[in-house]
Amino acid sequence: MTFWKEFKSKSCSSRIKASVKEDVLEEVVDLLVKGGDVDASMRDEVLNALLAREQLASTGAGMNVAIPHVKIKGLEKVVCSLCVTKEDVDWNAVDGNPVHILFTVLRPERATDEHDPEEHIKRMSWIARLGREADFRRFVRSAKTKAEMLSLLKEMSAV
Amino acid sequence: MVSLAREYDAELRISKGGHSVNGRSILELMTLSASLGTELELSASGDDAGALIAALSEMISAGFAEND
Repeated sequence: MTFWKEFKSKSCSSRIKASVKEDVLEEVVDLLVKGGDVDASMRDEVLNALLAREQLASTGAGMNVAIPHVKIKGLEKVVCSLCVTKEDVDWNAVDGNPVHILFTVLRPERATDEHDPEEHIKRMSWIARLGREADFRRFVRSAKTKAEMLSLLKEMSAV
Repeated sequence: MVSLAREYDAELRISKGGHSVNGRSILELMTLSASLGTELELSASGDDAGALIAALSEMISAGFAEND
């Protein structure tokens, strides 16, 4: 599995400062824009889509992991980021636990030359397998740099 | 589905192709890679097992309210 290659350092963070869900998502989206993964003109659309998705049902998957994921019109390929928060964040997660680790996934509305919808299911499955690993959660929270976090993604993909 | 399962006093196992996961865990459920049309087997145990399966059947029959 090479989904780890879809995570770009500039769009990730080992120390998200916000402590409220909506502010965290805003910080995540601004990082995606800053990292060049999301065009600045789409910033508000992406943020609003993520916030709307949370209204539909919390993406807090349990075990301190959230997986915000939405389809975005105009996106040509999947955009992913991994962020770790400094503080506990109430995400209204299914198990009631706060969130510390966020895998954010933006995908095109339909198949493109660079996006296979079938791969999305496999990608989400890969993320879930990482998220449920206590070792991954412990190591990624203690990572001091983005490079460490991304290296962890690569290493644990091989397990 | 997971939120619904957690409302009942019952364990839930969901299986695909012989591989079984805890149906009360979103992360475990996601590892099944179950795309649209996949056949899944649901198995519940505990005091509310019957009620849980009935509720899940209704949810699935209604298309998870996504068939609009």
